[in-house]
Amino acid sequence: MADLDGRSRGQIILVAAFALAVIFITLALIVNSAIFTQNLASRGETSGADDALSHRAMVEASVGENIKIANRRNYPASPPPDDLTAAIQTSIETISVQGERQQVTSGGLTDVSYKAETRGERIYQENSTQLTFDDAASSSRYVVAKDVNHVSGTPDANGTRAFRINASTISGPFVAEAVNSDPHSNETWEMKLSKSGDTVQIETTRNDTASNIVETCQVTVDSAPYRIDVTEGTINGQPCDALGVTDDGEKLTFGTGATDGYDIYFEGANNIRGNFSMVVHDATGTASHSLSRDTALYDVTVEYTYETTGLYYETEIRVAPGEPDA
Amino acid sequence: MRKDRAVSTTVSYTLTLAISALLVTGLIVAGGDYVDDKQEQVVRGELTVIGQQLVSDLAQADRLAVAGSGSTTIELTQSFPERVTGTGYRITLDPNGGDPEVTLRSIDPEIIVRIGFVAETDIEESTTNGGKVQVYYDSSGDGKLEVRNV
Repeated sequence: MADLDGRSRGQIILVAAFALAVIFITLALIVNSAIFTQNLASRGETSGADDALSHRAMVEASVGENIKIANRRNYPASPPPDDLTAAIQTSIETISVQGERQQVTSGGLTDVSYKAETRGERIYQENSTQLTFDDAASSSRYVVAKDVNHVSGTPDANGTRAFRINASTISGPFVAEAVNSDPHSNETWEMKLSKSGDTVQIETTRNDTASNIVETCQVTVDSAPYRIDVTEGTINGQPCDALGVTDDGEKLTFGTGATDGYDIYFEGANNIRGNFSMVVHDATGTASHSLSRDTALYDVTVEYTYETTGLYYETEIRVAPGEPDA
Repeated sequence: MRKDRAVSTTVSYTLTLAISALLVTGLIVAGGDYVDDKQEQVVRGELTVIGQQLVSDLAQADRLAVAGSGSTTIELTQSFPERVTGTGYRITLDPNGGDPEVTLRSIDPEIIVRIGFVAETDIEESTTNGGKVQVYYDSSGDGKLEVRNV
């Protein structure tokens, strides 16, 4: 007969209770995981990649400014290392130390160090007594730089940078060309600058083997000076499509289409009064008229390192201020 | 004294036992199924979140690689949980012929989550466990993004 003693009644309910307890514990673990998942999902960008890139941009801009200053100061230039190289190396060290101090407060370690440089030549006319680009006051076509070469080993490099015109009057058309070889008919890239009334106009022609690509742009400028940045593609700060990329995607930046060893010519330089400056790479100079030529830095390459607890980033930065965009 | 006393007690006891056993078994089975179902949902959710965090790391590393030039090295590390809801998991980075994706696979229950992403840099096929995961790029090596444990 079954044992109906009170003490052993309800054993099944006891077993069921144990089983349910185990189920509840497992559910608690699952809920814990779910809560942690929510916390994980709310994690923001903690590694510092944004800071690494913004600091990189700042280093590039700072080194660019220092290159401009070193070139303008025109330090004595014997074969490197010399005062020009020493000047840029010192300024890069300063940029590195100041950047370190700034970034360390937000948990980042940075370092910038000089790696290499490419020399070029700065060709300019800054003589305030000379009224035009061409002291002979003629409209003849003359060579400004011969055999300009692109910087090798860098896909986006050009051979000319920071070509800027600061004109007080433009009384007729002025032409700047980058051609592979004389004569005139073999133009590879040509810019015609003219002004009518308040409007400054630039017409650019690029000769691509058989076909010609022509583009024009016009900008209204109320009064002198007329500042044309040819390599950057702006007129008094306004963008000019004829010196950049057209709507069809055609590239018309300075010297596009000109292969290595191109010559730069000016024509109609008596029509323009003012100053200009450009930096060219690897040109065989041609002493012409009263253009000034100084040895200058064309580009500088620095090594950039950025480190936080979650990120280590090391790369090189090639700085060539005013070089046309790729 | 009643003459049918002994019979009704045994039968009622047996019936009570049987029905209780049946009900309790049913309850435990349903409870177990419920727990399995919830576990699967949570594992899937957690793997998705881990995958998306990793994809965001890969996108950052891609940006850094594209901005770099010359000799470039990138090491981007993030800590993920080593187990999800009691089970381990593996992370696989797959170039998938130009359509790269990250696959996360848990061990038990086996759940697979795939997250696609876009990168300009080439991707190297690599596998790692959970825990501290590093996205690595070296231009002087094979020049591809890969994941590894550190």
